Amino acid sequence: MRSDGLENLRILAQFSAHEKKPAAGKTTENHVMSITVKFFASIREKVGKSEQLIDSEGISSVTDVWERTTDVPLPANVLMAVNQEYVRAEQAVRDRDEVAFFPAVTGG
Amino acid sequence: MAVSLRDEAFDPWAALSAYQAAHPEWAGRVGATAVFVGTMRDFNQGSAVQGMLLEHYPAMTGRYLERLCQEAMSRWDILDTLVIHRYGELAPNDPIVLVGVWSAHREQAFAACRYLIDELKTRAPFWKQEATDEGLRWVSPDD
Repeated sequence: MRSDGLENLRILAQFSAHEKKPAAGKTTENHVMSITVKFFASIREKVGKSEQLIDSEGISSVTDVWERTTDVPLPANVLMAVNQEYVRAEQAVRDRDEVAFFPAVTGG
Repeated sequence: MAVSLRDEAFDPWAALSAYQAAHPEWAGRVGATAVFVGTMRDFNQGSAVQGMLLEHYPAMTGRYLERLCQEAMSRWDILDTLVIHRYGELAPNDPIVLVGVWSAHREQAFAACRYLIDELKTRAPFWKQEATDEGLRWVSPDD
């Protein structure tokens, strides 16, 4: 992902607004089989995207989600959440879960 | 117990007064109010900082801040907690976070306030990005 001024503005606009729902999911005629994957802060920049919907077929753990959505090895210090709860990489992931990857937090 | 996430500058002292005024039932019961206000500096790691972008995970931050307040309420004998945290674009001197704790006694209020800000800094999913002369840079937890 480029990190020029336009890109920074785009990112700012993205998190200035409240959480946006992804555009139409990977919906089939009769069933939604998808996992929402979110990337934040430096991890978002590293992987070049903020959100992706993936088919849940063949996904069993958080590690599987990372490998399906990125081309880089899982960073040692990355934090992971499933449905907004901190988890470890081995955590099971199911259809319709929301999985997030992000760096150490720096609020306060 | 109240948690609020704001995308615009806020006055922590006005927020404290307003919250306390909204709880007349505390009258005569509050012996201590412990307050922490975190404010944006205009320097960090030897560089001048012109501005900050504070990113967060909206679906998770509110939930975690509420959980921390519940933990504080159950661990200490306190009357109430108020946490306000900014996100979005900040300028130097802007308040970033307010933690207020009301209690009958100071030991409980101090301990709960310290717990809330320390836990918030290690568990709530916020990420600071500073604008310096060299460009944007992510703040590390050790900065």
